[in-house]
Amino acid sequence: MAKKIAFLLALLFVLVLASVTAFAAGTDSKTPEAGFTQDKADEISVEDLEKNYGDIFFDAKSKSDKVIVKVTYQRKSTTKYPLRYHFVSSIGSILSDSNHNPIVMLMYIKKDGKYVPLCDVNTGKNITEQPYYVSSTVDLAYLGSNKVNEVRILIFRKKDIDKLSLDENLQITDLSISVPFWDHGEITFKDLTSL
Amino acid sequence: MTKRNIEKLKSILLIFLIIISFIQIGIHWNQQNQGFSFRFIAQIFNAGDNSGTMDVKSLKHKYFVPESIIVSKSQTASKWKLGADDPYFKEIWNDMTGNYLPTILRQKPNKVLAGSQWAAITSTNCISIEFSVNWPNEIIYWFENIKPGEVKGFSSIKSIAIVPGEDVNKTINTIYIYDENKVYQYMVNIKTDFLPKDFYSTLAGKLEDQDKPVLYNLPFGSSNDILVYDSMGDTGSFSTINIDIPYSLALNIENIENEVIQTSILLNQKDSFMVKYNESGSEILFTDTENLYKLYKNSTLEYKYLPGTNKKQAGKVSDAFCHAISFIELRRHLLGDIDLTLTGINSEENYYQMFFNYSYNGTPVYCVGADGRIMPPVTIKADEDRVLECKWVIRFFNEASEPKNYSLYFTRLMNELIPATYPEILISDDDVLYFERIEPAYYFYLNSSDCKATPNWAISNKTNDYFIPLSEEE
Repeated sequence: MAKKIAFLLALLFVLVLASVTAFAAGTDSKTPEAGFTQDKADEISVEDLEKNYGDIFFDAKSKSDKVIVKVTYQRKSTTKYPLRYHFVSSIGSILSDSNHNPIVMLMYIKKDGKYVPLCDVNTGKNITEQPYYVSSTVDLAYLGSNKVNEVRILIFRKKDIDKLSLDENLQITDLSISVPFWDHGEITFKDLTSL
Repeated sequence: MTKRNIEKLKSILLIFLIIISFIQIGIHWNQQNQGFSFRFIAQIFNAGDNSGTMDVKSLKHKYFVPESIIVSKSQTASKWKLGADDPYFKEIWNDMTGNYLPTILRQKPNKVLAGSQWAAITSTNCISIEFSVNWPNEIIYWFENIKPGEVKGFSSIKSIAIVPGEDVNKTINTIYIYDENKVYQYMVNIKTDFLPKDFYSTLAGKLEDQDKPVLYNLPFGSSNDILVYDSMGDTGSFSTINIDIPYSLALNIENIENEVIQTSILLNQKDSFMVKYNESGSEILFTDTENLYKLYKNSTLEYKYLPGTNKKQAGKVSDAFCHAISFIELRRHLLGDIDLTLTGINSEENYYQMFFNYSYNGTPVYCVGADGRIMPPVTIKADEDRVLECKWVIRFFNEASEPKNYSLYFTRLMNELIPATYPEILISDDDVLYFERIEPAYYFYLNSSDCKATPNWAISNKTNDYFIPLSEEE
């Protein structure tokens, strides 16, 4: 009987040890160790964000002095997609990112006076999340030198998602971009010097 | 009759003495110029000599090659980069060297603009030819067989921009030359053997039709324009290469006894040199009255012209460059399948210092020194008369395996590869990241023996150089 109890206790002990994740060996697998459910829980719902912070996100008067990242953009050289632009938001140093807190970038464009999602051509989403360097390729809405694309970029740290506040942890970058036709809009050096 | 015969004999003797005197001068000059004083004599005596004069045309093609050709469509748009293996690269460069350069070198510039205008010129619809070194025009004249007196214009060439949209006339193309100081504008008449102007004005469209990946400007501080691929599927094809100490330079008893090392380094002069080597086999030394060659175990060759230079000026840079590349080319068989590119020329008081880098199919192969920083594998000091000093890390390069595809996606580098390997790259005290280099490259260590090199991201900031392996794509 004593042997049986000892065996059962030993088995219980082994099972308890095996269930301690801290002892799990690392793998080379590209699948995150956090697991699928954890991932799902971490996924940001743009709908919820818009519901909670819509009055800040879409208010034309919303302005922010907070600079989390530098935003730059370049037009893609393509006549097939003349409105295609590449946007980059990047931190200046990871010193300002001591908590490994990813950057979230939300993109909108104003159409008929209302901000609508400006989606990445590859992911089909207007939200991009990366640790340090966020890039997104989008198609703007209006072509022609006389038209302006009003782009609003919202940037914040993922951990601040529940308490976003202007000038504290939310960066709003408004850009006005005119996209000239390639055929007529090619600028030559002669144009530049005669400006 | 006897007197006439004596006169005839005297004449023959005189002619013989004159010939002998020429040979005597040739022998005397032998130490300096590695040959006889007159080439026709040298040709007779040195028919099989590999230290003869170099073929200027083939040298021009080997060394005077752009680092890249950038095609841009508009001021704020992405760009295309044409590598040396691209057919358009070859067409453009052949047109430039065969047609435009000989014309430009002989004509006066239409306009001279401030150097600050260069950025505006190259950000327009243009084809920009970029060199790794600011080529002094005297060397360009030498390549193009032009006398310097014929020309009035730029002092050197760092970049050339072809701007086809500048002039509406189909028979005139506009070329800009940048010498890091000023910009020189040339309106060139397109002749029958030139590429048509349409070729240049439609090039961006052709590249787009071929789905060539585009590059974007790096959104960080940099010493020069760094372009990066930033679309998820952007890949590059790279081989794995062997980088070995040449078998004939391995410091072992067999090579020393068989005089293999002497033959490889001293070429046909090996018999006139004295050999010294230490018992540990860490170095071997060859010397005569004027020349000293030292080969180390890590296959670094040092050369020194012992009398040094007694000149007050370095003389013509083209002659110094010619001596430098002759020194390399005579020993090129030691290198295998690799190119050498000139990366710098410094003009000192009485010599020129030249730096060369290795390049495999257009991808740089960097040598990393004992301090962990990238160093030029070949440094040569020369004046117009001869090579004065040389330090050369010699390696034999050949392909180890067929090319494979590697990801060049910059977002991946920034978010995954750098944080996992060298996160300090992304640390900046003033919150501004600064880079001097971000590019795919191979590398080897100065003191390594044999290695297999796969492509890496070579990343340099002001204080360090880093290498991160490129991610292989399936």
